[in-house]
Amino acid sequence: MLNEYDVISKVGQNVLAGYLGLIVETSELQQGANSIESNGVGVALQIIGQMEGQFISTMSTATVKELVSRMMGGYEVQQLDEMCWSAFQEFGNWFVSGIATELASQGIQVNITQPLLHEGDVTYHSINNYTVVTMTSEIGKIDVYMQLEEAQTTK
Amino acid sequence: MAKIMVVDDAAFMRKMIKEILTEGGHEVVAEAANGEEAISFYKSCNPDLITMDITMPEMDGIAAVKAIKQLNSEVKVIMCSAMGQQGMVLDAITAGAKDFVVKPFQKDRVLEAVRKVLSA
Ligand SMILES: [Mg+2]
Repeated sequence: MLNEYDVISKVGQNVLAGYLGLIVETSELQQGANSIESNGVGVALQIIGQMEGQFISTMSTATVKELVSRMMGGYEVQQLDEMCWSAFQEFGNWFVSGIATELASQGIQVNITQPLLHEGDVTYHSINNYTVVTMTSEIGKIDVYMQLEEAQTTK
Repeated sequence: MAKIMVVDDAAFMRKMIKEILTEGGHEVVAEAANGEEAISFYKSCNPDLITMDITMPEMDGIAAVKAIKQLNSEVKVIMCSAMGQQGMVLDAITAGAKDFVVKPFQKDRVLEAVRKVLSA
């Protein structure tokens, strides 16, 4: 049985600590969630293949500025321009590709779709429950929501 | 120092790779955002080496490497992908890539791959 929390926190550590040098603490919301509210920014990707589902990461505007600034090697971000959005998409790509790589090591083959970005007030509603992981570091809180199920075999 | 073409659909990744390569003393002679651009720029600037993303619209990196191999069977390509699965690495090597770097990548890892592939 796949432990989604373990996968998310391992990949989150790889990206945020291993690559961006942040000291990160991860925690899981025990009851999960079936709706997501965001008033900052978010990146969403779908996972397709032997398991299917979604990945959504949300954070405040202040946090995403710090995040992309670090991705750009410390370059100060005043305003979120096209290059920043491209970087934020790439953050989504790295994270979910890391999850795909982790799943592959457990014998599950998946692929990921292009990242979709949002900015401003948004609420996602879902019938299924999301695993909710919060990653806290000096740049603020990054929330990760993921739901993953065995793909229907009726192809 | 080598003349390098960078291929990636993400503007951010092209900028990052370009910075790393430039700091390493190389010259980025072309930037392509998909496989089709890569083929046409390859013909016009004849780079010593290519860094190639895998997942791109229009034509993906694996198909682009195969097509460029038809133009020059000796072409030197380093695949850059966020996907680290063995299957994908294998597909890239079979298509003709000489090395494989996983994103997000470290500067040293990229420059080391470039050095190795150029001297091979
Ligand atoms: Mg790409």
